Amino acid sequence: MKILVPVKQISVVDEDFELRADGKDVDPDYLDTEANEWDDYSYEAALEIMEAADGDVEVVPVTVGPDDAEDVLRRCLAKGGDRGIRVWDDDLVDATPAAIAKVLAKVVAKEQPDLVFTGTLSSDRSFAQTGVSLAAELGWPHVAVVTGIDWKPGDPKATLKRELEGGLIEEVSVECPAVLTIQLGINTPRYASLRGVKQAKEKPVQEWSLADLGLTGAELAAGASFRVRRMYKPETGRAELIEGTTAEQAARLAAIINELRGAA
Amino acid sequence: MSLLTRALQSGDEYLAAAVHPAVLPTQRQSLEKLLFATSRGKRQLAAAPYAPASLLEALASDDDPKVRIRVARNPSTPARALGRLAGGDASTALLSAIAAHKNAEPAILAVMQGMESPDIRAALCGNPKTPLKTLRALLPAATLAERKILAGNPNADAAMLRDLWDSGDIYVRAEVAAHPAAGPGLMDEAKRSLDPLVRRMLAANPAVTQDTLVALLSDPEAAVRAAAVRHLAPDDHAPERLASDPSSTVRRAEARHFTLPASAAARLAGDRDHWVRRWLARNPGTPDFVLRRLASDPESEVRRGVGRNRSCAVDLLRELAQDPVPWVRAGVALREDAPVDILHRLGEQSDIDVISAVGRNARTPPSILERIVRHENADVRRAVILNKRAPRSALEAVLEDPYPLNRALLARHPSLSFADLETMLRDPEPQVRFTAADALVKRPRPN
Amino acid sequence: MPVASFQSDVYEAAVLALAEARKPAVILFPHSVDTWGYAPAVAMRGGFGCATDVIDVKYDGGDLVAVRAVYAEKLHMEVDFPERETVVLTVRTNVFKPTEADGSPAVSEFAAPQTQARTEHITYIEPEQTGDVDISQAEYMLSVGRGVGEEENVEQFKELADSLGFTLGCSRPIADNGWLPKSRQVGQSGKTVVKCKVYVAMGISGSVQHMAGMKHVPSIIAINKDAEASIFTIAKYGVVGDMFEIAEELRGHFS
Repeated sequence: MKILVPVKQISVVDEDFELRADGKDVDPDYLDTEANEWDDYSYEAALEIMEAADGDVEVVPVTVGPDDAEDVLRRCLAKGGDRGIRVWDDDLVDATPAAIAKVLAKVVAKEQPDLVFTGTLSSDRSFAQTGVSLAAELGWPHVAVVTGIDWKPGDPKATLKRELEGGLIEEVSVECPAVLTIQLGINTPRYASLRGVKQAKEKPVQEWSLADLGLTGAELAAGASFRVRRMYKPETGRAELIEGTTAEQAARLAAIINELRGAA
Repeated sequence: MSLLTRALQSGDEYLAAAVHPAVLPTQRQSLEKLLFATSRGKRQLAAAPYAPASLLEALASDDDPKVRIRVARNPSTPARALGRLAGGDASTALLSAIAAHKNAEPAILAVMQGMESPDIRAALCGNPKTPLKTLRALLPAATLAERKILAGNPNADAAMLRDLWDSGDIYVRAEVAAHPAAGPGLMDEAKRSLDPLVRRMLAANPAVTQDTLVALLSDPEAAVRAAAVRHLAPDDHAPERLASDPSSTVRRAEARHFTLPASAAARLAGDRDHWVRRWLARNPGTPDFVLRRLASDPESEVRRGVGRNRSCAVDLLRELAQDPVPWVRAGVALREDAPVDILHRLGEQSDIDVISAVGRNARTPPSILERIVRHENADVRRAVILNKRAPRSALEAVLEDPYPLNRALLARHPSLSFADLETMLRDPEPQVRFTAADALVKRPRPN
Repeated sequence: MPVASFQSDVYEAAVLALAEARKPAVILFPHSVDTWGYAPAVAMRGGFGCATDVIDVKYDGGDLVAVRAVYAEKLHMEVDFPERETVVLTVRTNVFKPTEADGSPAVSEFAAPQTQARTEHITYIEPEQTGDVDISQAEYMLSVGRGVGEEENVEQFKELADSLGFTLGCSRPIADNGWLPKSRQVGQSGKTVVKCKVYVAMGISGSVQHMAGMKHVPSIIAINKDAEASIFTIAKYGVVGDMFEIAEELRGHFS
């Protein structure tokens, strides 16, 4: 039994950034990388199932990303799991979620997992598409925004919770194999022990190119679900700075608070 | 191996940053070669809250304007570096960051007084380091928005405040009314103001006279009366009357008053507004018999308040240590004057707030700390890490704490050995390495 | 309570069949929990263009252009869909104003295809009502940080939160000091405030650990005396000022 967990190294923009020369993204010199927060939860969900199954389940993290994206795999492996997979090709720079889903579908075809857990979204681009697109590409059933999982090896179905708007929780079952997109808060992700961090450095990470997966850059480009025209700083900055004396600021704040909660 | 050598050999930027302030200028150059290798690295360092002053000074002379502006905006940047930044080829954005900086020397701020940029002017109006003569120079051309900021500047004098009062709107006048330098004439006008905001701000003015405050106790606005009560000196108010004021805002303010007569405290202890009782429970001036009554209040936050009150007697603490609500017991566990047998008992409980409080308590015996530090909850373990009196024996179990922040905070602990800190220099987490290196730099070497 | 439960297989098949029959240029969905669960699959299976969480739509010549926010809303991204006959857009709620006038659509029936769903609805569960305060369920929060200075000062912010009807939270140092229960701690090692709509951060500088628990909140109001505090980078409204003075003034508006 196997759970495949696609994880992502995300980009965070620095203050007073510059755009790339083509205007379609931020200049990489102003981007920092970190692990996507949602993936801590999806990986933890997989590890919990692995540990409860006592040896019957393998958890494999996979990422689509350049050399330094190996960090996010090592970060996972420091918590558990024995090996990781990294897929990269220069043609994957600026790949859309549809293209990533096609790549991951090939990984699934090779690995034959019983379940795939992705994060609900990644916080740099916030598409919230990859997991469900992957399921569509595979023709697998899927459930998004999952907040509870009950499954053990051999179960033909997983029983899940998903949280709807307004806090209502729906319990659903899904036939396996399936793709689940995991929501924040489903569990409490662990921190790796120092020993785990050290051991993770020795664990194997397989590296696959597009060719290894039988894909070509041209094919993926043709399947792109959109094209970026440009990125820009919105005219209104994010924060409205409230000016004036303390009494004026408080009066404005009170009005904002009342408006936001619809009291007015 | 010295820290300097280690930083240079490992190429670890976090070690290098920590070591920088502690080495000779010539040695700094070799560290800077490592630290300033990329423009991205320099920008990050210039904005880093942990960047030592020596590094910010070095970065203040950097060629990249993006680096310089970050140095100017970094609250840790020392006066000398700000002076260097202002002296160079400075953009308006850079100058306004310097004009707003709390470490800027008055002399540098004074140089900027003639500049027309609205951002620079606003920053100068608001900076508590801006000297009076500069504030005066800014006043004649000041916009209403700038006048509002000027009226709040502690360096403004009575003459300026008079000008602001006469020319400003209600908000400017409210700021003037609250200004300690306002002087008797302005305060008198403020007292007679028809606007309750102005009267309330006057009541909050630290320089207001007792007579004025007593007069404001009869104000028709509850908020004004409440502000007056809060700032009254002990003898001059009428607590009996206020303790039955119809406004709970006033009674709450009264309950916070340090020198509350016993009779008023007794009356407030039965107030139906639980906030009145909460404030009373926290008030160190509340008499013992009232605290005893509040210790069995139905509202647990009131009982917690009693347990946190420094005037709470030991036998009452013993009683509160048995409270059914954990948060009340946690308040007792936090007290350094709690008897050790209580700490023993509370340290064996399961509520995480209670055991964390025991873990944090400087009086808790090592044997209890050694147990608490092995708790599965990272927050509970951190309570022991933050306990400055914890002996090394109690910290051994967290030297490899899986939660990185716990290790970073541990690196600040005075009971760690040099060997512990040196091990931490190889931690996978940069914050831990920096803190350990910084601790080593700041700690006197044993001879 | 929804009348019929959502089944992604059924919804996907129905929308795909309709799209096949009618060949729309654009299929608009709300950006909601259910559409997260099937709109991207419709696009993938139909070979359609797709953009999610769209905040603006326009035409540039003949080209459909969608705008969406990226990098924690710091930038906007404009995308188009070359050579796509049909485009799926999920649209962020509350950014488009409803039109005043009623339209006059021609409504026709379309028989949905029979589909075997591979998911099955079991039940709906109302969220648990626990006696204890659960900040992860709070919609309106006021949190205090290191700026509060000492334990005695925490009390007035509790009082303020109370009069606002907001749930009180705090950053790690406040809970570490034992000034507020750990159940009130927002952020890493504390709680993520997943339901929060309005978050008032007072005297919180915005450590990475704290922001991890609340940066997703749509309306963040930050009050801090340091204009350079990181919290302002994620706030919608900011006040550079003294948290005590602001609290004192705010109280007057809510008592």
